[in-house]
Amino acid sequence: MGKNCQWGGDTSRRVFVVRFIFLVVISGFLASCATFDAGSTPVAILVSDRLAAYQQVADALRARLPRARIYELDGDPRKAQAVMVKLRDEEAGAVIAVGSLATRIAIKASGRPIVFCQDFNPEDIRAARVAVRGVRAMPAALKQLQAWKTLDPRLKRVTMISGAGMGEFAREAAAGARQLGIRLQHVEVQSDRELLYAAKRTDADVQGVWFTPDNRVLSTEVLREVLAYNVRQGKQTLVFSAQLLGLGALLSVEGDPHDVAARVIEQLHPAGGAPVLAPLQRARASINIEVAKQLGLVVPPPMQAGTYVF
Amino acid sequence: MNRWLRAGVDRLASQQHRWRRGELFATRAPGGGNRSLVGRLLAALVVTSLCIYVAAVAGLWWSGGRLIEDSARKQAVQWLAELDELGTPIYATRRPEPAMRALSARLKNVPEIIYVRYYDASGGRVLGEYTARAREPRLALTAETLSTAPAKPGNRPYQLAELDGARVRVTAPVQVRVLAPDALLDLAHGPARESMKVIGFLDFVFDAGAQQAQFERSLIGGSLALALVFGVAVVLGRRKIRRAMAPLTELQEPLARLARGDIDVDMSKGGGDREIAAIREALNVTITALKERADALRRAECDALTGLVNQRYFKRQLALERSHVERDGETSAVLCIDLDRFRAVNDVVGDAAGDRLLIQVAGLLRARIRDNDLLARFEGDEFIALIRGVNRDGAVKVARSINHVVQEFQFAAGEERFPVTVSIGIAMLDASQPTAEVALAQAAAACALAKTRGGNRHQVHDGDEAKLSPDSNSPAWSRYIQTAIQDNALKFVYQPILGLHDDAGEMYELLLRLVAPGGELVSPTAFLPVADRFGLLAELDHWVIRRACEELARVRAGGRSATFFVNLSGHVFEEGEVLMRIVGEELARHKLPGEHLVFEITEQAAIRQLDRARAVVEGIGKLGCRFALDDFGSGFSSLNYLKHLPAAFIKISGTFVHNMMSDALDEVMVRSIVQIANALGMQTVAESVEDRETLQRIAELGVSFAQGHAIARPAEALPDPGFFASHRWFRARTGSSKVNSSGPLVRSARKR
Repeated sequence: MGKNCQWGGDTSRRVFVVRFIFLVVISGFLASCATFDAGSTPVAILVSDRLAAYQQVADALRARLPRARIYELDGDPRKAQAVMVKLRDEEAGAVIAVGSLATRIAIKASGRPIVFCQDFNPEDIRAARVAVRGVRAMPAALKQLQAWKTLDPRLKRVTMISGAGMGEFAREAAAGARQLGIRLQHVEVQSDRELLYAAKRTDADVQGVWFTPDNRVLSTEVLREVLAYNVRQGKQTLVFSAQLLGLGALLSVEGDPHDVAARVIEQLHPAGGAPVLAPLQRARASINIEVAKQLGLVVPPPMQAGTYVF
Repeated sequence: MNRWLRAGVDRLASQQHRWRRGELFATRAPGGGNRSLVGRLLAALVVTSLCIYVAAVAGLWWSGGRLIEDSARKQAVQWLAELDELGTPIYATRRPEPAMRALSARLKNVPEIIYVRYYDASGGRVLGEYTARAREPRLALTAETLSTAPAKPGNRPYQLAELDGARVRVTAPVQVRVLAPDALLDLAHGPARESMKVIGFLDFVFDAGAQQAQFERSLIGGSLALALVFGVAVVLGRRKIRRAMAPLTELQEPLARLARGDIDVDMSKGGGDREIAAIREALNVTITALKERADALRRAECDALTGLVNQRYFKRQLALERSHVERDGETSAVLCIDLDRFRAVNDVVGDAAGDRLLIQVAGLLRARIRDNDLLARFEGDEFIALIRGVNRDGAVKVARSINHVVQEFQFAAGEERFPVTVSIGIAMLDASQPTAEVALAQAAAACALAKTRGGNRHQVHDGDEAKLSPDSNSPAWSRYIQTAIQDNALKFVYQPILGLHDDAGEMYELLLRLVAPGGELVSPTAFLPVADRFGLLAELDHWVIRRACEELARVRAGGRSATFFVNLSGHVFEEGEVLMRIVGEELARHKLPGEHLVFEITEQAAIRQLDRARAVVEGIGKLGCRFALDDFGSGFSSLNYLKHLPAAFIKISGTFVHNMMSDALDEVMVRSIVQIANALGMQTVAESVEDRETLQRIAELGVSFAQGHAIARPAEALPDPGFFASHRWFRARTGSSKVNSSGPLVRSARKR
């Protein structure tokens, strides 16, 4: 069963501050190591698949990096290997990996600096032989909770279900929740069936369930079932992709492609002390108006168009 | 009559419709037993109901069993999903006991679950277990279960094995799904990018025995209820069938009567469904047709007036009787019964009364014969009776009784009453008779003989009489008569007619005789029936006319002037033109004056065809010939017709003349006839004048002429020319003549 964590006391706050200072020191060290020159040689952009979320980011990058060369991997690992062999023979600068496949293959096969994005669960970049920096795939937890709170000001108690290894984000979310006056419960699960089990056994007074993106514990069937279950139970659901709104989710908060591209450019030329994993600055919230009506929510004017970038 | 009618009805009934009891109601089916249609229908109802019941119950058991099995399987699969989800905590922690306790607490309320076991991914270690019974044997996972590959997303692989009773064991892998990393942003294609991973195995046994027992109890109750419903349906159906078949059963009795020949059955009453009504209608149509056929048969073989059988049917039965007596050596008798003076009665009271007389006489005759005898009316007043199984004495006894009963009977027409008598001829029917027709002719001849002998009597045909009275139906006799006509084997005898008041010259009545093969002379009463039966009367009349003219010419050629009275049959009026032509030709050929020929016709013949008779008399009168009404007064004719019949002579019947000296009424009759004749300008001839007193008396009464034995007997040759001169003294002085009082008395009932 997942581990339940709550942050609300002074001890937890001290631990959080210590860990934050440690992260800042490590990030500064890594940023200094990962400094590379991206202006002299063209950048190679590896796109994992022809998904809208990847293509939008790739398009934004090409607009900012006219000399960059884009390589479509089409979700095919063998094609990805071939692209990496080709890149070895070419004179090129850094590699921008969009998506999980591109990130994994670039870390394994590239000898150039790598900036990745749109990967929700990147592998341990510390094991990489080259300088690796990245941009978070999800907006900050606070922003997501702010969007949810904007939609439902009466939101008081939510449960966040995630896979293992999301402790930092969980702490960030806990902090954001406290800031917004929300009591957040974190449940960590090991598999999709455990996620389903946990989702169906949330407390009755929990108003919403927040599913963080983790391919290890999510499956399409479970998502479909748990979202439908929540609708039947009158519970709100915060998800990571607007695609899930069609299955019954209330709200999705994603990164904005241009913001992602801008953060990637910044990671190509990181300033001193910049974090290895750069946070997004903007978020794009999408609302399922029908579900909102069913749940008795009054959609605020900024969100009535269905999409709200902030 | 009943017998032949019944036979016809039986034949028609069997040929046309075959409506017999056996065929309709299967009371005696061909080759079958004594079964009832209603019984068979009821049996069919019971058998059908039983079959339906058995099929329904078997179907219930079979489909119910299948339903229970399917239900158990589906419940087992549902429990698989349920237990798969409930076991999720066991795979999420290293201490599954609390989760297992919670699960056990829940499963205790589910008696169908016998045990549940959760295995690890290797299948060798049990992570959690629930057992409903303490000593439930632990079954190892099969290799098939352990080798189950992770299924594609959306599928749940499992193995299902049926154990003893209604228990089902289900084993299945416990799986989790893992999305591809890039699939989080491409959930539309998520299932294709998922992979499955086996993290353990689930093993449980589901027992549907309690449900099956409950189902069997329900099924037994349902079967009993169904049996009750079918039983009620059979009882109601039985009543319904009986009620529906009742109208058909009611037809059984009238159909049986119909089969026995009784066509007076009524099948129009009674209800019934459309089919039965159609059968009833068809039977009514059939009965109507049978009645019409029976009526047609009756009309074809029955006399419409008296209801007796007719000549055709009688002759057929007579032929059968002839065969019968020949085969069995028995004897029967044929009686020819003819009413005496029927024509006279008919003429006096009219045809309708005559018909009534015939009907009443038929009733009298029918009462005098037995049921198995046969009585027919041939034509006119002639009845024929077939008396079966009697000898000559028996036949005579029957004839005598008929004579007696008819004589006792008096026919009433208005205020008038007429005595009725019959003449009966008897012929025996035995093996010696060549044909039945011969017996019939013999009876007719004997009847004619009885009439000749005065009527109101019976006459048995025998060999001697056959000599005098030829067989009227014998073709040999008819050929003989024809030959006699052609060969002039007929001859006349002459009887003088004496003028009582003046000398009228020689006058003779020509009396016809047939020369028999033996040379003896046969009177007309013997052979005229044969001539009449074989249509020889006209030819005979023509011969008489020609021969009379020849004789008259011969007499006149001898220097004598004679007048011949020639007898003709009534048949001449039916072909008056031919008669006038022949008379004219003969007169011309012999250059004879017509006034020397006087044709005699009987009063009855003239009256019967009065218009024709008058035309013929007038036609013949134009040739100069005259007519005499013969045997006048013998019938009961009205005197009125005399005004319309221009006859020259009235021959007073001998029945009045013969007894007038002793019977004042006869004398009055003679006087009256003379007065009427005088008033009409006719002359009178008295017949059968047997003695001198009578001759004297009729002369005193004013009769013009006389003939009879008192004057002269009929002779084959004419008397000497002085014969009539010898009687002049009589006319000069009444009562001084010499009258021959001896000699035969010939009463010309039917004379020529």
